[in-house]
Amino acid sequence: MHVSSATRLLALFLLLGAAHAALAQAPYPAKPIRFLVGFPPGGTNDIVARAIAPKFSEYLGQSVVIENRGGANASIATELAARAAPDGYTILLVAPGHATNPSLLKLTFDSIRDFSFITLAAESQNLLVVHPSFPPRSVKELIAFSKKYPPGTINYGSSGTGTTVHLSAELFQFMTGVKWLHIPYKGGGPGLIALFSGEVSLYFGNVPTVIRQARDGKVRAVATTGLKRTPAAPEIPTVAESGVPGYEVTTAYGVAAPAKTPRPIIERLHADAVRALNSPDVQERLKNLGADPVGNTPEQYTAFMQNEIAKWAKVIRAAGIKGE
Amino acid sequence: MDILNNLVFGFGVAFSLQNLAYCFAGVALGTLIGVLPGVGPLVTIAMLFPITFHLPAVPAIIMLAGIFYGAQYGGSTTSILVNLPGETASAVTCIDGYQMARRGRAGPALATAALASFFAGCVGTLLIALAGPSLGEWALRFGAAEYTALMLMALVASAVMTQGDAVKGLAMVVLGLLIGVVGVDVNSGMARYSFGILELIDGVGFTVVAVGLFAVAEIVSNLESREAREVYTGKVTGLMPTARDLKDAAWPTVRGTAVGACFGVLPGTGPALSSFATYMLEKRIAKDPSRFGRGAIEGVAAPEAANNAAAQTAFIPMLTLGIPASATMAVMLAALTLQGIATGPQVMFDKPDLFWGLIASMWIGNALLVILNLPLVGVWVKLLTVPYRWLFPSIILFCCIGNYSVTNNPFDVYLCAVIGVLGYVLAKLECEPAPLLLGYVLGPLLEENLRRALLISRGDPTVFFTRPISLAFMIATLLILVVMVVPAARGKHHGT
Repeated sequence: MHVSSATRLLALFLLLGAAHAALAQAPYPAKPIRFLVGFPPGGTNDIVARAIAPKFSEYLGQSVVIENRGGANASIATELAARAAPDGYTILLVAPGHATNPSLLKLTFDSIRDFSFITLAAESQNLLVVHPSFPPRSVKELIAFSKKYPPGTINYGSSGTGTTVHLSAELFQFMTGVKWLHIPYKGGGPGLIALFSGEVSLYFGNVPTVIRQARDGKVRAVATTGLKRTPAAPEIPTVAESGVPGYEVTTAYGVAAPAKTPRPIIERLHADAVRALNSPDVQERLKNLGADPVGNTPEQYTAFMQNEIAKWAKVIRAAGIKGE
Repeated sequence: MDILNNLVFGFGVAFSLQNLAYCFAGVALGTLIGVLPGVGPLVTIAMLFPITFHLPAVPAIIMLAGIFYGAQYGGSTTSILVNLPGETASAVTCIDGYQMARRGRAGPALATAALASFFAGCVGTLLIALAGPSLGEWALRFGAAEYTALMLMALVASAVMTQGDAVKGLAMVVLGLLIGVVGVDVNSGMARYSFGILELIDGVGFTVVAVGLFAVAEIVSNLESREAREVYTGKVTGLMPTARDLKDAAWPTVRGTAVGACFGVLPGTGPALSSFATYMLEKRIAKDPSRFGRGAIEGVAAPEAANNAAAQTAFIPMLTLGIPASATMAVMLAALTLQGIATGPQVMFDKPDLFWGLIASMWIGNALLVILNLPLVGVWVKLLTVPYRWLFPSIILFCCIGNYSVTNNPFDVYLCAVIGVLGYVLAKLECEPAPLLLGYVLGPLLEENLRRALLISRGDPTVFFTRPISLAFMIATLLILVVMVVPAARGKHHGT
């Protein structure tokens, strides 16, 4: 009996050690996964993440816990993800601003090299709407109408400098050579109200926020910004098919992990993320938001991100938009 | 009487057991989060958002709406008791509400806040039912020039916010203005005064400024003097307002409701501005303005009525134009969108149960709030008898939780501490925090709209005088200036 306490202690240590080793070798994922979202609860980014998370958790067999870290157009959360341990327990909802932030903000991380991109989750398009009293009815008429007047005569609204609403118009001007005047508003609501009241003539709104108003006749839909027509309104032509070939703006939400996350973990996350995106629940929720579920491969997503960053760097430079 | 039929129908919807239960849950939760600083309706609604996936649309929106206007009730509680603004809109209530509490009149202050809110909530709801669509159209007449003129008028009127030295008051407005412009400039996209700190790119949050200036600074000041704090705890006189209190509060409540209802419809101005505006109005027209800032009951009734009326009429742009007037409204709109419901003028006809059910539920919710809040007055007042050495760490803790929960970033907690120190220094210099806060709210709005108006007019300043609504505000601004300058000049003449 007199040795037993020491023996017992030793046994306990061995047991604990074994348990620890077991945990270390337990198949991934062995604990909940942190899902960083770069905006406060309630924005589209948050809603996209919350639409995917339940099914994602179910397939991974571990809960995916959403952590909102708002600020600086998602770059605060993005920086956190870039600096997190590459163990598969931190993932990031890549915000649409990921492609434009390098050109607008002074970032302390590399938007490509610091990440392992997993999959492009969903994309939505913008819809060019005009005030009902504004004469042009098509993209061709709009270009001709804009060129008839001195540069900067026509006002277009946006939900803020550097947003896709703003940059859709900048890309349009960049590719067609027309010149409009940018009137930025704080957020989509005030921007749309300005279009309703005629304070601005043009607005590239996200499809779900403007489609109903276009159908009610409060504003007039002209064209969508995707390469293909949006399933939400297949009757509306794209800008690209209406005489500006190659024009494309999408609002893209994706999933990424820190760079150097082991390949098997990336593959596991990819497989379950795509499964979640393909489940009818998630598909329906995303479609109600006006977003089309995607779910491509890590390679395709990385190439997409590289293209987008290069494209916007060019447009932002040409438009003379200066960030910080 | 179409409206009457519709309302009867709406009450039929709202009085179902399920909808009543969700309405109660919403307003109870709203009261609770309103009491906590920072933990606002936006965060709560967003958190409960996934639950609405599994609910039918009507109870879902009834509950979310209940949280929103319930928070306006709860927000005043900590403002009055411990100078801690629980909600953005309650910052103004701190000024006189807290002074009333210090004089042992916390009970009447709390009860007045609840009753004024109830009145305003009922009127606001009635307005949605009667005039929702036309008010929505009215909001469209407000362009950049109109907003600029309105903000200018508010800024000029803000001179009455100051109790003492006018120069110090002006300095505070300017300081607030400077804090307000921190962050990305809307027009150019450039970050200002951010010193390369990513957290500052979005500016300094309202909660951070208000909690730091009012609550933290007050605690530091209190801790300085050992006994001063125990003074008022002993002499709590009467829980309910007297007949005289009610008479004094009646007209300010009515005026506050009117002002609040107008601001609520205008997107981007919201409850915070409405409570400032109505406070300034009351002080301006008061027979004895010097009572303000020393526990005037009008200073509690009017802003509380205003922010509640605004909370109610803020639904008008969302329901009739399908456009959210604030971030909170945007989340509610998203909840409806995810249910496959598109809002807009047609919602009244497409989904009458939703529209009229929501309106009826707001009445019921407001009544529930009074029933919930009046008995609580006694409980809250008892809280003041807790020794200060226990009370103040709890208040500080709530300040930290509140600030942290807005962005989940400890940076905001540190920033609030810094602003608390600033607030203490300002208190020592006898500079008041209210004008600073007003400058902080108004300055960026004025700048944004002024630059937008000039962009649209291509630099032509006559735009402020050629548009009728803008011109009316400009004339009013001039009148306010004259009224302010004339007595001052006369006063000097008499040598007082």
